[in-house]
Amino acid sequence: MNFLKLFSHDLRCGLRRKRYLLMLPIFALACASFLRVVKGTPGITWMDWVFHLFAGMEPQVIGSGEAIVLPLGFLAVMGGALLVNLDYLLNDLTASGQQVLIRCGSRRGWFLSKCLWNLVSCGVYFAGVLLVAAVFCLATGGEAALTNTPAAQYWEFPFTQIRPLSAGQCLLIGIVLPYLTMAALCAAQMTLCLFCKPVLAFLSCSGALLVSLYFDAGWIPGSGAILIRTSLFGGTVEPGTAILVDLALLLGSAIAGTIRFRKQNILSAEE
Amino acid sequence: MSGTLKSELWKAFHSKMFLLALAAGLLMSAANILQNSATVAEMTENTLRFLQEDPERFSGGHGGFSLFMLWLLIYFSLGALAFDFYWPILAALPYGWSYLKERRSGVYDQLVTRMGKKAYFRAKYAAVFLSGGAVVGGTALFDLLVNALICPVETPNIMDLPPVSNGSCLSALYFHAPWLFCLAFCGLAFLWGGVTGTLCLAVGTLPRLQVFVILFPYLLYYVWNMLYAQLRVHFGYLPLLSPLLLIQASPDYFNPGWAVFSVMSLVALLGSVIGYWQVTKREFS
Repeated sequence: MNFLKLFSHDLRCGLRRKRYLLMLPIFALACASFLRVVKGTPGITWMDWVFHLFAGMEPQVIGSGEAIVLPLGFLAVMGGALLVNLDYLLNDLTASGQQVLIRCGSRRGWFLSKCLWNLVSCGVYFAGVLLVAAVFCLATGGEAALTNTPAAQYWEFPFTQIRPLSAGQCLLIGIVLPYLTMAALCAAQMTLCLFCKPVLAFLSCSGALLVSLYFDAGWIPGSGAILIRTSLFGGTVEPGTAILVDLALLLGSAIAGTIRFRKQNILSAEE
Repeated sequence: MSGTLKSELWKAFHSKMFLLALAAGLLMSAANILQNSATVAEMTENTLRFLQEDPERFSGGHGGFSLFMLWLLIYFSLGALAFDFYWPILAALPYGWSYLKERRSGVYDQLVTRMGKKAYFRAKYAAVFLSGGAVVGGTALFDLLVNALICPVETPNIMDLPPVSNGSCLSALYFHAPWLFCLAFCGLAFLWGGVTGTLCLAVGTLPRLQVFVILFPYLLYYVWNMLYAQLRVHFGYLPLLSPLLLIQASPDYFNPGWAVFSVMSLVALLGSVIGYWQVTKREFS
């Protein structure tokens, strides 16, 4: 079985799952909290909705005595990707997927196919997020533009230096960075599943997301998705650094997973 | 105690997952304790400096930085953040997964032919409840007792702007008998952990993998919390009705006692009624 056939098998089996559709109401809930901003701000664009979902939160000092603020929508969208992609590799290791693994003849190919599938799966998930944002935008009379409306972000993040961005900058921090961060975290989670229990892998990666929210540093995996902290808004996260961190995590996960999986005992594989 | 229950309890409290959950809980508590010890050291240094510089102006007290302000369920530290965010997973991790595993491996069939489905459900429910409660309540109690060795103990004073407001759950105890308040919240944390763990029985054998059974209560609470946040946006004032946040002794929103116990009862009802149906009536799919 060559690599392309293996990959197309993964795409066929791994993308036809109801859970992508089940996540749509969660995205809608995450979008719903932006409705009050839309009411008071004219000229809201599609990119503003996307910015709302991936904005994250302004830095909060832990231990300052303030109450805990959880950016529920951001965590739901990013954490949802971790959940959706959590079990595909495990299913293929513990059930009839083992048949494919035995027949494909190459463990390296099998794992790399899963890594590529992860990228496509995150793409499908991300497209769902963008689609829900577009539906909300059109339903509320917004414009399908790729630029932001500073008043909308200022409403939610009054302590950040909000400024209008070009379409290219918006695409970079609103689409490219969140997607890469999501894919990198999911890849890391998939690799961690080979080393420890899946629940621990989920806890580690969602923990990285949580830590990136409360520690203002660009090198923490997950901070790339928090667009309100990027240097374009006067924050500490350089988009270039975040892209490098995400690519390193993607590559590192693929290499570590391939090495680990070559010696994995699949006969005793269980959850 | 019946043999069935004894056996389930033994399995629950000797499983690796129970130890893993306990270790995770203690790790969160340790993070809180470390941060508190740094806070208390800094505060002591400041107090000594004030005393040396101008002893007459020093009014005494610790400016609110006492045990009853720095405890895991009250304070906002890194450990408290992790605990507040992940406690439903800690509750489900010890033994919530066991029903699915026994059903898939066939152990369930062996057991119910000997003891009956109802007795099996009762024993399983008790074991899941107690193990989940022990991890969540135990973490809160451990944090309280170890923090008591580090932090000064001072009855909360309204002038120090304590995080517990008048009218919230057990607030009268907080200002008069704070130890009792903390112990009562440890008990509440135990109950929350217990009822949350039993939600795993409600999901039954629907997921194929254990990991989704363990994550189910967390997901449910998270979506519940998102729905509650939307309700609050639309209706303005609402008491806290989200189980994810109700475990805190000083949440961001008003948490009257009736809200705490009503939501807890609802969760317990969901876990027990649907769990009973799943275990005794539903066929394995």
